[in-house]
Amino acid sequence: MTDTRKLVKECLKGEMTAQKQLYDLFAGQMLGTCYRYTKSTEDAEDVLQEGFIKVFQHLAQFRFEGELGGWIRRIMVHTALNYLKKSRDYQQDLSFEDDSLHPVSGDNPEMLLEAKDLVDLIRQLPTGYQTIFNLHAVEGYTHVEIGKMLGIHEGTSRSQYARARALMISWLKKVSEDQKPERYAR
Amino acid sequence: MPDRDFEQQVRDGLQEWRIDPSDRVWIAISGQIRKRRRRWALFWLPLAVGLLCAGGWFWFNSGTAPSGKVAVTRSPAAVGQTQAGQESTGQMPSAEPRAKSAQPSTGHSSGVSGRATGVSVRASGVSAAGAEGLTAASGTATAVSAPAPTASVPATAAREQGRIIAVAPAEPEAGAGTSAQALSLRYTPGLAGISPCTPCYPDPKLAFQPLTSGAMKNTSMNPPLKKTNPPLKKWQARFYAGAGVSGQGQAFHFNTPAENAVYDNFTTSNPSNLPGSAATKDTLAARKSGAGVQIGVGWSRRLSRHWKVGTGLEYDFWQTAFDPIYPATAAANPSFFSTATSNYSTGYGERYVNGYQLLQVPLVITWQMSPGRRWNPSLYSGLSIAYLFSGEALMYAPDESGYVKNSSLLRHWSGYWEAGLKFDVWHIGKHALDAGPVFQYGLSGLQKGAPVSDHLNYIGIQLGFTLPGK
Repeated sequence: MTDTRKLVKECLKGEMTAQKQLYDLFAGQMLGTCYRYTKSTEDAEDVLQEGFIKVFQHLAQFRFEGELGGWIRRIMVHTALNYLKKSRDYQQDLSFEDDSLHPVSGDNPEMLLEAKDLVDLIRQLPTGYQTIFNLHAVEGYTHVEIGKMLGIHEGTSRSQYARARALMISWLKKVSEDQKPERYAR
Repeated sequence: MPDRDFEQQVRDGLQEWRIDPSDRVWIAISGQIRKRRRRWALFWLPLAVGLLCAGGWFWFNSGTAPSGKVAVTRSPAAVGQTQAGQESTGQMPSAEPRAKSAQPSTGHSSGVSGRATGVSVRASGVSAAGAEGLTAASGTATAVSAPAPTASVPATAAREQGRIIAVAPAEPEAGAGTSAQALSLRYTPGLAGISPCTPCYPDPKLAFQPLTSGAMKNTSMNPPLKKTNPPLKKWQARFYAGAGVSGQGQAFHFNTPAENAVYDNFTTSNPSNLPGSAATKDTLAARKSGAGVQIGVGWSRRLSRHWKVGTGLEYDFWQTAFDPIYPATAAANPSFFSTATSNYSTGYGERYVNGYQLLQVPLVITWQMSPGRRWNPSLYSGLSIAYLFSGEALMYAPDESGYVKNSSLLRHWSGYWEAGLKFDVWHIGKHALDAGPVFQYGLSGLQKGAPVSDHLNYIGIQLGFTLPGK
């Protein structure tokens, strides 16, 4: 088992070997996270790269109060959000209109999907939906927190999430019926 | 609650899901980390060297009158009318002794660590490239014509009274009354020097070598977290050269800016007190500084992992110069300077440059902070035996009671202390290019057998190239 504390200390000394080891330890999982927020592998890797540079830059601020993986994941999420806001490819699609609340579906389809397929479904959501879905459903942020992170109203986050959720459920149903989901028109 | 079931399923299915990034990501990350370190060095190293040079410059330029005799003589050819054959003393103001956490601000604790249990979502590793059907892109200080020096007063006593003495020639002076008076100034110079020998080794084993993702999982890129000490060479040779600021003056004495300001005001408002006080103070006291260069070769032997001793041979050429009068004082009293002391007709008096050449054999001890590693900061200090074999300077001659240009006074042995710091800035194979500040201080007075406590000093930047030996 990797001694995280020792690994962090080695990294803080600037030892490249330790930094590589830290990277190897978390890169796969973090790329999985970045992948969910973006539309292409290249973008995900760009976010991963930017995120890890921030990790090494701010590693001295990690207080060992929680899991290193969780700390790194939060950096990745914030980096991904900044990336989406800065990137022209995503700006147009990253609009959060203050819709009226969408009724939350009570559907709870059985998901017979592999994680990869599920991620691919999430990535087919419009960027705004995709972002909020990821933040709430996967990362577990509350709508109040999401509102602060994205600079939107809490209600907007709720309604966007409801729409995203409804879309996801409908697609999951289709998949469960061996139907390929139609790609969402952007 | 059905909603929770859905979110929980998604969360459980995706939290541990991972895809392997392409090699280009780490190449880019490691490249950027290195670039940041280099940027750090490029900013802080020159700043530190600059501060050291500035400090050295201030120190060299802020000394007071040397403790030896101070003689101001006129040349036979050009005579002065005002103070012929007498001492003129200028009252001086007495000089005071101088002696968040990076943890993302949301405060949210990610609850992303659940496990997929009892759900039918299965996590599977997928190659990033494969997932998108893409392939990974690889990223990354007059001669004094000082002809006949006559009376001279011990500067020590004069200085204690706050006076500075000007000594006129005893001989009748031809052309007395002319304004073409060539005041010539004599003074005693001083000196210093050493050489560092501190090499370092790059360690090829620590160089980053990207591996394929498969290889990284299994082998050398995932070594146990154990510091590996690279093998170090026992003997090293180092070739180096440097440039910097040289100066001479009393040892460890500072003129504060406030003292200089008071002095300037005094001489400006009371020109009758000039030139003796101003000239001597200005010329012999403080402002002797210039440029220096050095070149050398050294050999060192490693005593332990962090300690080395070394010796070598170094050649130094150091110059010091002085401008006799404060420009501000001269500018404020142009009539005085042009009539009473013609030599100051230009308003600035004469400028004289001393030049010294030394050969040094240093004995240096070096402590290396992280031998074999990238920057390898090294501190070194040592003593050297130096032979001042050549000089173009005005030297105080006890037998002649004055200052003469006598090169024989310059041929003597002396001792120097040096200290420095260096960093490896570039590794070329097993060899290393280093750079850093170095300071050298003359332990003995510059002049042979003189009562003048005038030391020669040097502070500069040195660049070295170290060759690993066996």
